[in-house]
Amino acid sequence: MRVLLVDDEEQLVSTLAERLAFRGIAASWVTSSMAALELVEKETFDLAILDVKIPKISGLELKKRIQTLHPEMKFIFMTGHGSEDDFKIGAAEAGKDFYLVKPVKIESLLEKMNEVMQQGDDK
Amino acid sequence: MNAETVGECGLHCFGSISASISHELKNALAIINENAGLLEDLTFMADKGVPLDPARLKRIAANIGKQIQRADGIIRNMNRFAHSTDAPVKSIDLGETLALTLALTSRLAAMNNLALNFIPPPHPVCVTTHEFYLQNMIWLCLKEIMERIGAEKEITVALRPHPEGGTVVFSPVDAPMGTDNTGDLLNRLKATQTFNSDRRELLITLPGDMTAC
Repeated sequence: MRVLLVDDEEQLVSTLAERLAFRGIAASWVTSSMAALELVEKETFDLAILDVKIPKISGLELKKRIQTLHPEMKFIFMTGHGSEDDFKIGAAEAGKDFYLVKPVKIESLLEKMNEVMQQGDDK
Repeated sequence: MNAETVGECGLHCFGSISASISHELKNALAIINENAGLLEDLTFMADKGVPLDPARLKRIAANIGKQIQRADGIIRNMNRFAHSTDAPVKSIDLGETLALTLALTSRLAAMNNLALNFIPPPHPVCVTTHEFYLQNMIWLCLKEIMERIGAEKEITVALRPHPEGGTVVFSPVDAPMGTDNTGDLLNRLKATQTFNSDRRELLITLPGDMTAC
């Protein structure tokens, strides 16, 4: 599985990529939506894990743009939304995508990654 | 906090800044969480015979320490901001209040791909004013400027001493602030707004003592 991590917090994505690598998952990371769009033009990923609030181009908008190039790609969103209500609003915006609230336990993330990869193409 | 005193615009400002603070804290916690998890991973691997690299452990400890400092700074700013409603009117160091308000607005700016640049005055400028209304107005001005700004990547906020107070200068700005809320806050602060189209500057001039106006 090839994973793309996008979050403007470099320390977060670089450390998460390292932890995923320990588990045999190849993860590339970038800290802006523009860098993510450049990368997906050159490389193929199975799954993208996106922060919802990325400067300039939001995670939800980034997903739409990536999907025009790679309609088969799957997505998981990470959010810093603090409350349960915010979480519900975010989940409603993201539709059938998977949502995780920061800080994320690696076990929960791996579980969601497996779930999303087993999903059909009815995104 | 008295909602009647702060008003709807003030509550919006307070809520937005609080939400931004909670996001920042969540990010700091998320980074600490990942680094703690990485330590667990390395310990697990050490149990399996993979040697631990002390330099790597030092880096992880430094990363955690950095995020704790970051979170501490955010909480200190949040505390100072929360106390701005303690007294209706008091004497404040205008430069300090401006720097705090800019720090609290920096995430909103970053989300708009903008940086905030503060030019402090050559010497402290103290005014007697309503600190929260002032912060509310600065935040509102920055929000409006961000919504209107073109290709620029930076908003500069300068504080210039004034014979009877201080002037906060925003640039680049292409129109005066036009909302009812700005006008209301200017009235409450006994402040005036001037727009200089040639220099693309918005000037908010505060009296030295708003209670004497």
